[in-house]
Amino acid sequence: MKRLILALLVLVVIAAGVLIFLNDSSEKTKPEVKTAVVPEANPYADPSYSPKALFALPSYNMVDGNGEVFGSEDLAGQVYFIFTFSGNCDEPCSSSLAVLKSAKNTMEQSFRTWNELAYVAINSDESITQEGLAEFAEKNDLKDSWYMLRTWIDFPQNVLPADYNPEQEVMLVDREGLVRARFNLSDEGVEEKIIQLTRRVLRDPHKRIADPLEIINPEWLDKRMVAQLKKRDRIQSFVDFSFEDKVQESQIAWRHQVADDAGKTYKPSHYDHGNGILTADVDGDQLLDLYFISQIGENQLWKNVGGGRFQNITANSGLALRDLVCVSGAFADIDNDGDQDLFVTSILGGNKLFENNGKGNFKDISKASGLNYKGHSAGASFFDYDKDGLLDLFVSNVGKFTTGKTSTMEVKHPSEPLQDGSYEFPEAMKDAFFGHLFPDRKEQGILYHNEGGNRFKNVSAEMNLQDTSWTGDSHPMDLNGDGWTDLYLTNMQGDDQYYENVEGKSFVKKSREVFPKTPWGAMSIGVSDFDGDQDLDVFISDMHSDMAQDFTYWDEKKKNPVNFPPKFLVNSDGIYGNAFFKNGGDMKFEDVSMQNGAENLWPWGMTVGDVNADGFEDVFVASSMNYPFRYAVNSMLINEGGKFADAEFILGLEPRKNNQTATWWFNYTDENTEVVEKWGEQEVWAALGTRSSVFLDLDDDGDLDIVTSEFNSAPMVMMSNLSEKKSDLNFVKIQLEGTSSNRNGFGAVVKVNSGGKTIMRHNHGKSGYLSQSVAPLYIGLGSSNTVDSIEVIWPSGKTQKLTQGIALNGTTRIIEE
Amino acid sequence: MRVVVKPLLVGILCLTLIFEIWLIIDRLKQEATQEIAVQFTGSKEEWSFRYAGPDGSFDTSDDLFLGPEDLMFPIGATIKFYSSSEDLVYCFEVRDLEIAQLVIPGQPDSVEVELDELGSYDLNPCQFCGIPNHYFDRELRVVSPEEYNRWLAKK
Repeated sequence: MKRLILALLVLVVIAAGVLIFLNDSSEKTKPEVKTAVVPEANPYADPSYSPKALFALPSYNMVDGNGEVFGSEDLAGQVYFIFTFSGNCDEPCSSSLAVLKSAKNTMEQSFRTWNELAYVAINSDESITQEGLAEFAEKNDLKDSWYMLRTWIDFPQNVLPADYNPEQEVMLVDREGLVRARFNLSDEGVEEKIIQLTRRVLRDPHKRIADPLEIINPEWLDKRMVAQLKKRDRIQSFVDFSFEDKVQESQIAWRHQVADDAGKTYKPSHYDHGNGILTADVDGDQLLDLYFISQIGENQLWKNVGGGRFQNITANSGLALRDLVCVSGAFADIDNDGDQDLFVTSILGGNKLFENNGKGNFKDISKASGLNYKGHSAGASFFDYDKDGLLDLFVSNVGKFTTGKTSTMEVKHPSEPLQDGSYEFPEAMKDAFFGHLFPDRKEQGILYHNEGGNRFKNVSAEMNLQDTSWTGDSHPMDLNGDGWTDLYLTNMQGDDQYYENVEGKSFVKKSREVFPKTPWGAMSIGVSDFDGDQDLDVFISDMHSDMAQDFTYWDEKKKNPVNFPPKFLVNSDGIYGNAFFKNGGDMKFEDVSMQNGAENLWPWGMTVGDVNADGFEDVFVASSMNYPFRYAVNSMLINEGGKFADAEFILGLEPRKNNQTATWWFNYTDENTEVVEKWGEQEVWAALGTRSSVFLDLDDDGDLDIVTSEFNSAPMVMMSNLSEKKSDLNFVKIQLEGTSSNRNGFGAVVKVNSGGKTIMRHNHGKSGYLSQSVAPLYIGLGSSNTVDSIEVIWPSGKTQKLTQGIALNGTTRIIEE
Repeated sequence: MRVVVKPLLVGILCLTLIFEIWLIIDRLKQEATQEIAVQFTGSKEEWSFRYAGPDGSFDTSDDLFLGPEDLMFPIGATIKFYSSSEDLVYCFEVRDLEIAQLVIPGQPDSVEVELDELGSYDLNPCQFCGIPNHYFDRELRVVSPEEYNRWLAKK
């Protein structure tokens, strides 16, 4: 018995061993494979999806409604629909035609970029006369884009599908004459299908390439508009007015041009960051003029001739700067002579200072002034840090992002020749956005003291303001309310910096003490008493954090997780997204951007002003990301006492005029590529995007209009109709004139007492990203139609109070006494 | 005869048990400690990838250079990514695995990750402010050891 048990035991152990061995040498236990749930195929989810060709439409010639021969050659290069019917188009034809007309109507409203659609209606009834055809078109309102033809296309045998269903079917024909889709117009949801597929066929390469494809007639834009309009009733502030782009009416015919390193030879570099736009009355006629700055090509000065119209006076102004790669500008009266002088920064071409003769003619005094620094300069801010009555200047220098080599480029715009020509520009580094990792690429910002006589001296060292952050712009502000103007620097690659002015004798860096965390990729800054509690709040836009990955608009109102490696962040522990620093008093600031609606996506420059004249300053955030990225909407944040409501669609700022989302970017001529071989030289189109803007009442009708600086495109001149729509519009415009203080009154604090409220404004001149302007302060009074007093605290320390001579709904000029 | 058979059976039994224990330990060891070294090198706006091969060392005859294809790894393996740059600053990331590696010229670096879930993960250059010129779009695929071995055998 024992032997038997032992034998069995041996057999069991051996069998187990064999099993283990076999198992080990064969496939190991398969781990549980997680099978993803494959969603139902949705071709439209892929922006590059385009329907394949079904068959080629044979060439044809027929007789049109005018009795003329019309054929396939006439529609070559055009996307169009073919619908056939006979007789009077009774049912089901009439219902089908109604569906097609409805789809046409929707497409006309949604598609504006590359919207060359045509509609061919063919009456196959041989007995139909020319007059009958015309009568049918008239009766059915088949006018714009419709071609009425007689008889039928002579299809070769077996080409026309056997199931072709005239009177109920429409064919979509592409630019090459290929039928790309057939739609049965009685099918449920066919209209949406027509719109979707047509959108895709319109994106086909032809003479133009969109990069990326989805910027052409994007699907999301209408949905986003509808979503915002639905929330309109939740906005308590006045929004029953709108803006309209009247650039043509303004007669402004200028176009911004980018360097090729932001286009044809794209490199992720600081060329992406665009340029400023400024306003000032350069010729003393009491109308605000405009100065547009371009990266490549000509800057232009446009004189306001009244009524919302402008005249180009660049030629005599001396401000074209065609050979410079410019960045920003600042108007200021540097010599207190009553006219506005101009400072312009550039990339390695030397910064420029121009003295105004009071008539809009400017003299280049760069070299004599000492402001002709050559570097990677960006924003510039005039402010009187030592209160000696002369405006000093801080120039932000980004950091070395160019290689030292020069690139050449050719501009040949298909329709706007203004900037056409050959240019040179400093070549961008391919790893420009890693510049902050290299100490040898740092470039210190410069604080200049105005010595008088139009001469400036670099006092960065003696004033202890030696900042080497990757700074794009700066903002003067008296944040601690001690009467001395402090300075905030936005860092594009790291933490922002804040320097406190110690009685004009030195600056003390109090960055982390006052702002423990700041946006990591800050672009622009807006400063105002946004919540009306008589202190300054600070609003920062952050583009770089939004470029860390592809976010969707559903994430817009929150901070987004980013995946920056620690080594990239260096020692920063930043905020990833916009920051709205609410001033809690005692120099305590708390970021409440997620609570108060101040987040948006892909923001560049912000401009602050009271667009609905309710006493609270609103914010326009220039947004979007051009070649080779996405189109994004500009944000109009309506201030409801410290909280913001999105209103860009409500106020007509989006979608843009004609629903445009894309524009010409450069010409593509590489003959080795399939597309050029097939279609010839290509126009590459990219997303439109705004970089900076300025608010001004350019037609003097009592409301603030918006003029934008578009990247590689023409500006928008968004005219407000608030003055027509708001029956109780009340405002004051205040023009300061310092005597002991600097003549612009930069640094002055203005308090308007009206209707039991005090509205506080700081006069700092910062009018938007990369821009400083000289314009009257515009203060909306809400429903109050009286002003009890205006108090001005001048930089000199003098305080002045006006109780009389205040022009309600007009401009009050206050001279320092 | 009885005297011979009994110790013989006991001997076989012991040997078999020892063999079984060795097999089990070996398999556990194999599963627990498989390490794969991969080198990412940025040069002239391109990335190149190579596996260290069975000997675990680079610059040896069994190094495996990858073409423009996805990277494969067996589940359970520990992967060590060695990165270096010969010219510019580069960065790659596998977002779903929380890997983001900055590569600075003259500062080779490494990062280690354990792959304990089957699947495909996007491997791209980091996007800081725009798409870099040295763009690539690959997948990092975590597969069964058998599939990995078959893939390796084809190389």
